[in-house]
Amino acid sequence: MSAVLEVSGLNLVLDANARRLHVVRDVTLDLRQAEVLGLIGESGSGKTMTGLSLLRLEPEQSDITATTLRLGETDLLVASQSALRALRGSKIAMIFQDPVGAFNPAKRIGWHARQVLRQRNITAWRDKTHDLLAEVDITDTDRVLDAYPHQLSGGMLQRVLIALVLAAEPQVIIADEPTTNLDNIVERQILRLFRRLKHSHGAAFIFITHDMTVAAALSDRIAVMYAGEIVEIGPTRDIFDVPKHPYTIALIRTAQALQARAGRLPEIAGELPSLARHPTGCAFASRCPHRMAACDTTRIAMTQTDPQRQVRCLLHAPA
Amino acid sequence: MRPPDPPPVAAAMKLLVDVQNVTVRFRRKRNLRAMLTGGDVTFRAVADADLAIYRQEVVGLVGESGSGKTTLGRTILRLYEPSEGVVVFDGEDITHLREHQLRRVWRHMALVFQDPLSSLNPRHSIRTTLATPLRITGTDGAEIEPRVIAALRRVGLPSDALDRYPHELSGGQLQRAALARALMLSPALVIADEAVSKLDVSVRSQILNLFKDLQADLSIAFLFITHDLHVAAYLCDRIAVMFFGRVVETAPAHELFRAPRHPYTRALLATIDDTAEAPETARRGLVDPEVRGCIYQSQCPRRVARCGDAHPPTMTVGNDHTLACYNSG
Repeated sequence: MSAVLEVSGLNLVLDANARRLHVVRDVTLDLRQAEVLGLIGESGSGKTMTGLSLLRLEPEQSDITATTLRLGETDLLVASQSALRALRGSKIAMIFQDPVGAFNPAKRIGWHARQVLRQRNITAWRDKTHDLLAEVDITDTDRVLDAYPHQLSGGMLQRVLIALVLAAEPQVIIADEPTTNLDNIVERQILRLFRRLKHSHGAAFIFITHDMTVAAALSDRIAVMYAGEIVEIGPTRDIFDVPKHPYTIALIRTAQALQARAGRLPEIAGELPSLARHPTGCAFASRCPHRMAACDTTRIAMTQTDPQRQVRCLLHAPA
Repeated sequence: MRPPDPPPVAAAMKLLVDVQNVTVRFRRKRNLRAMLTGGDVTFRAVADADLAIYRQEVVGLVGESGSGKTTLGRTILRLYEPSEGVVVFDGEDITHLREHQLRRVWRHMALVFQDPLSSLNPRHSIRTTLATPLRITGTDGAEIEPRVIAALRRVGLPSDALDRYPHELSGGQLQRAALARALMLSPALVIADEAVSKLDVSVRSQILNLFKDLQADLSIAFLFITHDLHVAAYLCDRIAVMFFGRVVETAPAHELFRAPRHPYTRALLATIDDTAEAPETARRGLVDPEVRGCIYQSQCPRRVARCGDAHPPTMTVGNDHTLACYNSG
């Protein structure tokens, strides 16, 4: 299947008080139609900055470069601001962790729905909204439309936001930790909703999360980020069955041990490296149990280990 | 209502915290309509809650955000004063103590917060942060430095962390420092409010292991407030489940996970099993916190007529297992 989003060699460098932070390094990924790609990483791994870059919403004080950054036929790197504005929402959209921030607190939900649908020249907005909200399991439409954002719970607001994002039928939806602020039960409901929408809408999703289990529940493929780089990418099942990068192995082992309530949890020693001082070699080397001399001196490239999988690690590099 | 019968092991242990029928009300923000209509201007964050913590016991308090678990934790510390009910700490009724009387009690309690960066003074070095509790309780000056160093070692921080400031430490190191501060006065009770939920996955297991080590070494009782059921299951001896201000079920951790009784507990636990589809919460009505009858009735798949009459009383249904439900099956 053809890729709806093509990214290769994406770099983002932030200018922060005279320090240059290389927050996204050489990110390459394709997104196919009706596919969910889970983008996993800890805070500071660059996953949100990658998502923002794909909408060209990266911070102002920054330099973005890429070999390819293409949405369908459009080259996002050279597109004008007005062209980008036209794309956002209609072709590519983002759902944020905090739904409250996406709404105008002084306007009712109905007003927001009307704004979105007006752009698509839909005049019978109340009927259309009814259908849209039904899709996200909201049935008391009139009460919701007459409510102000603060009158709805976080889970309800996130549902409304998802419905409004879907209304424009974008080809690519980037969801940045959309369930992190929600309670366990609501999180499950929203994840189930995403699974259903994936099939019914045919949109492609990038699902950004720090939670391995959430990513596993939803994604066709997984990309694991560490210190700004993708260190492993491949089909979800394969990665969970046989993780290859030592960082992925540690993440999965930790999550499984906690669920199994094992006596002592496996630790990943040390801490994330500072973004200002990215090492020459592998960023994970200082925490890696398989560290070799070459890990610190060589710039590690992605290795294609089989047709679907790539890993950034010398253990898997061709001799 | 009486506190649950202590389990055989706990029977040998002394009751440290005894929360009896505690209700906590907060004044709502100035609400003109409520004032004019004479409506209720208070909000009930915790309703008629019972909770016991034995010495050296590790209790988990789980529930969704807004369920009142943080409020209940802070009421035990008497940072809030209950509107009704009694809080007993180490045999003393502390329900209505004044602040100058509480200072004596607070020496034996400590709180660890979710965000260590904002809970540590940015202008104090770690040395100052750890020495302060000793200094203000009149510890002999010569004793302070060795005790600070010992505390640092206990939480696994390198000694060069002493002269660092909070912004110079990473998230995991900060939470270690916050924990070291909490332990400075050898408290009988530590309340950890979502103490690992903000930490990154790779750092979280370090801190969870540290908590496990401390539980084994020290004679401290812990109350872990968390929405993460895996964390609660991993760390806790006993777990209390809250829903909209009510403690609906308490049980030993292994029993709660094996055989949950309350419909809400069942729904909650179903979420951690990735293979299970559709937990029992088919309904998704709005919860009215002041509703007559059971707080869970609008969501409950097992609702019976009685549920609309009054919130079910908390009953002892097994060894150290309490439940507030008319129809748990």
